[in-house]
This record gives sequence, structure tokens and C-alpha cells, in this order.
Amino acid sequence: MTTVVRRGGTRLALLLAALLLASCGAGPGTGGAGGGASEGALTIGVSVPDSTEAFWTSIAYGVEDEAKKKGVQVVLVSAGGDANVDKQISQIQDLVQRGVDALIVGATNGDGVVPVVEQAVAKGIPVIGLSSIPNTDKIASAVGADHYGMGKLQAECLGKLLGGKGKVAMMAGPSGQSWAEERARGFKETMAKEFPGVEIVAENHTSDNRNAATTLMEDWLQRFPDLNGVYSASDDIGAGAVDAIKAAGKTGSILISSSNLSPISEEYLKEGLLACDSTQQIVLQGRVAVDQAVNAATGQPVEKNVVTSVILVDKDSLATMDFSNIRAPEGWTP
Amino acid sequence: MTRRLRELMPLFILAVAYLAFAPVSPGFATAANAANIAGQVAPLAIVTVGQALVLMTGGFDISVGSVAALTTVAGSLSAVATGSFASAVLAAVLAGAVCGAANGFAVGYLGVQPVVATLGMLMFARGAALLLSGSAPVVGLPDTFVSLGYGEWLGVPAAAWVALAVVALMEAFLVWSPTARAVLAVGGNETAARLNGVPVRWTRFVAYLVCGALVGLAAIIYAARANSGQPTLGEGLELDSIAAAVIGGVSLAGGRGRMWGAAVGAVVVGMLANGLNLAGLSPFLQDVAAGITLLLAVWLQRARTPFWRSRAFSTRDARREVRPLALPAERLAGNDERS
Repeated sequence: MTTVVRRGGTRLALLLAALLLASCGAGPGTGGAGGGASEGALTIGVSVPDSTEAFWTSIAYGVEDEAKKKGVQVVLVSAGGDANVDKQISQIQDLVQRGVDALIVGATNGDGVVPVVEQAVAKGIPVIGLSSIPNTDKIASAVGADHYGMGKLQAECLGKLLGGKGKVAMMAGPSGQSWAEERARGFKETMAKEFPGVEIVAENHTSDNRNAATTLMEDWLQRFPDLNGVYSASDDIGAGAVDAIKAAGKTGSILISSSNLSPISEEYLKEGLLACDSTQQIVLQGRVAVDQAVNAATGQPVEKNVVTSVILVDKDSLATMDFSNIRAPEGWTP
Repeated sequence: MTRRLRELMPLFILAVAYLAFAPVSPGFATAANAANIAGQVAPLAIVTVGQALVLMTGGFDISVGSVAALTTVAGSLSAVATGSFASAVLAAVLAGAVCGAANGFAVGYLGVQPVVATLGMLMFARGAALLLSGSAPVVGLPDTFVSLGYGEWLGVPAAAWVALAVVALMEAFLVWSPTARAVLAVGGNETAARLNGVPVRWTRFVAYLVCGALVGLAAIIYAARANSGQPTLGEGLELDSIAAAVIGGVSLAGGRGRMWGAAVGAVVVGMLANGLNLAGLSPFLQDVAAGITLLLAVWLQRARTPFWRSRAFSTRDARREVRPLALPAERLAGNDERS
């Protein structure tokens, strides 16, 4: 019996020694990598919902590229999905615990992160909201895109192509989402003001989903045989509308505009299936957020609200586009 | 004796993880960070001890994440309607207990496989959470929630005190209550347990019910941390809680484990995430590290594994390892067919 106990003890002791050695062995290497940034440099904590999602990858690229230019160290954490609110809360607490000089937060849920963001601010760490803004006025700055402008650009494009008259229908995207509502408002107000001859015959809220948009477009083809144009809040919705119109053989007689410039839209623009597409400068938002964070951390003035400009793309301009402020280079990972 | 050593293994893993992070993660080895981790893992620890109870019966509860979502919505809606924190706790724990009872009834009395029964609950509870909340977070909670989520008492987060109390109660329950000891007997050797007059069905039912109720309690802490009831809460919670329990020495085959060990397992899971966040390593590395730790923990804790000195566990000793049903030895005398 005693032998067994002692052997068990030896086993434990040896394991402990081995693991300690392993951890110490790993120690200096990792420490060296972490300590690569110059001493005394600012550290900015960045918390995003999901760094594997194309949008947030581009944001992360903008953040890290700008930080490199400014000689600032970035600690990026990703919650792994919009559902993981509690994980993001823990991650923000960890960044606060690490003593970062400023925080950039793209919220999994604008309401859910409010208390932890307010806690960080109370501890003297300025917080910059990025694209998905924490729902509190304690943040130093909110950086986002001009979603109203994205709708406005679509209206200007369709209005011009239609010669200022005709009937258009709106696939306004999910209800209750501020980006969708802002884009729709921008479209409607611009149409009413600049192209009073264009009549908006329908406005439907759809989920941000290609199949749902195809179904809706098929219904509209029956309901509005003389339709001239379609507004779509996002590329998935726009692609669904394109599919239905193409299947009905009406390509060219019904013009479609969309937003976001995803790979599918790029393809459809090239093929002439999509009239135009308005896009936000995603990488630029990441860059601006870093600028704001550095200003906030060093006591320089900060803009409370930064709205990055948006761009209209059509078949011709696509060929000569500079994507450096729009999306991360292909193959880049955080 | 060896069993006692094995039961200490979670603490050993915790110590190794701590020592590994201390030199590489800025701000890791501080009292403030210890409090930070304690507050973060509090809800997971509560879910994990509930999950551990079910695992000990030889079952699984993969519905804990969805039930957390449903109960956080139920609790938050109740709080918004009545303005009372107590009513929120009551609603969440009751809703959790009802979900757990449904699981327990299906598994214990209808003989449905645990994975199937709790898979059904997983889908039901997620749908119900989204329906009840209109798929939007429930906001407008009373201030008590933020105090629970972010307040401290004696330097320790309020949520951690709650978790500590739950773990202590469950450990006492496991040691002193015949029903809870029966849990280990059912999981260890169902036939032997039945022959000894253990109410197998009732025991299973109670284990799932308690697990559900504890998930409801944890859901209140989740709501407190987000100051809102999030209907999407808890994706992956079933895996986190099972991993934590296993790291904490609870056997997936049932019949073995301690509540405090399961709680320590939850702390290990939380500490891994915390340490890697503080070190500023790639987000993807966290899952890799958690996976390695899990495998390492299971490997260390396998009673009969010949490690590098296979005689460290003699055959005689290993046989003793399989046997303990955690029932008083005299009740089992002469009935263990394996001896």
C-alpha cells in the first residue's frame, strides 16, 4: 500500500516538473513575441463579435494596419459570434484587467455590453464604439459608416438611370436594424427630393437572406408588371432579386441596386445584372477607430461621432477601384 | 489512497495553468485578476456542478445552453413586469426546474436516451426563448441585476459568492444526502444500485431537475452581467460545462466525481480564456489550448492508464478503482458482482 502511494506521488512530482519545464520553455518565447512592441507604447484592446466574418476581418485589418503605422500595440479578441454576449463581456473585462490604454468595441449586442463598457469607462479607460455601437453615451466616440448615404447613393443611381420617372420597389432588409432603416430612409428621402417622378410602389421588410428575396421578387413580378427598379438593402437581398428577374427574362428592363460590394455583387456588376452598388469603407473604419483611440488615450480631442464616407460602384468604376480602404487583402487573417 | 490523489488532480491542473500563465500574461497573477476570473466563471461553475450531477448518473444534459437562454428570458421578463429581483430569480429557477424535470422524466421514467431527451429540450428551449423575447434582448432590468453582475463584497464579486455557496451546498448534498449518493451509485453500476434498493428512476429524475434549476440560477447571473435577458445566450455552454466537469475529475461514464472538483474545472476553463486574452494571443489559439487541456486532464485522470510507470497503478489497485459506488460499504457487501 505504501509503495503504491509513494509511486503515485512520484508520478505526480515528475509530471509537475515536466509541465513546469514545458510552461517555462514556452514562457520566454511567447513573452518575447508579446514584448516585441517598443516599451512604453500605447496598447489598444479591440473586441469584435467574430473575427472570422468577412466584415470584421476587414475591420481588424484596418485596425492592425493603422496601429502598425502609429507604433501602437493591439490586443484583439473575438467573441466567436453575435450570440456570445457573455464571452465578449469577459473578454472586455480581461482587456481592462490587462491595463490597455483604450478600448475599441464592436458590440455583439449593443445593449448587452453596456454595463461592462461603463465599468471600463469608470476605471478611466476610454471606449471607442466601432460599427456596432455599445448603447451608452459614456463612450468617447462612435465610428461607423454613413448608412443613410448608402441609400442615398442607390437613389441617385437608379433615379438617373431611369431618367427621373418610373416605378421602384424597396426590399428594405430586416426591420428594427438601424443600418437597414438608415439605408431605406436615405433612399426614400433622396428619391422624393431629387426624383419626384419616381414612384415607390412597395416597401417590404425581408430577412437578410437570398432565398427570401427571390420569393418576394417573384411575387412582385406578378403584382407589378410595369416595375422599373428595385432597391435592396444588402447584397444577399439584391442577389436574390437578381436571380428572380433573370429567371423571368426581365434582366435590363428592371434595374437593381444594392449595398455592401460583396463578391457576389462584384460578379453581378461585371455581368451587368446589377446596375450599381454602394459600399462602406470597412477598412477605413478600423483605421479611424485607432486614430480616435490613440487621441482618447493621449488626452487629445476626440470626435464624438465619426461617419466614414460611402462609395458608389458600377460596372465601369469597378475595374479601376482601389479596394485598400474597403476590404482586407485576400488571405489576410487577424 | 490513489483515489484521493486523483481527486486532487483538478487542483494540480489549476496550479499548472496558473504557473504557466503567470510569467507571460501581463496583469494575470494579481488579486484583481483573481477576482475578475471568479466573477466571470461564476455562472459556468454553477452550470457545471449541475451538469456534473447528471454526468455522475451516467447521463448528459446538452440542453443547458438553451435552458439558460429560456430562463434568462423568463427571469428578465418577470423582472421587467414586476420590478422585483426576487421574482426574476424565482421565475428563472422555476422555469429551469420544469425543463430539468421534463428531461429527468424522459430519461428516468420513459427510458429515453439522455442525448435524445436533452436534444429535444435544447431545440424546444431555444425556440421558446426566441418566441418569448420576440428574438430581441429583454432590457429595463432593476438595478439589483447590475449589483449582482458587477458588485463586490470583501473584494470578491457578488456572483462568485453565489457560485461558492452553490458549490458548497452541492458538495454537502453529495456527501450527506442519500439521494445524491445514490446518484454516484446509479452512474457507477446501475444493476448493483438497483439490487441494493436504490430508486434508480427517481434518482435520475432528481439529478436532471436539480441541474435545470441550477441553470436557471446561473441564467440570472448571465442576465446580470449583460443587464439584459439575451435569448441567444448559451451557445456551446453544454460543451463548456461538460469539459469543465471532466477537467474537474467527473467521469463521463458516471459514478465518479466531486462537486468542488467540477467547480475547479470551470475555473480552469475560465482561467485559460483569461490568460490567453491577457497574453494577447490569437483568438483561435484559445480553443486549441482548451482542447489540449481537456485531453491532458482526461489522460491524467484515467485510473488505469499505464502512464510511464504502469505499476504505479497495480492491477489490484485498479480493480479497487472501478468499484466504489459511494454507497456505504456495508450496503454493497456481497452484491458487487465485480469483486
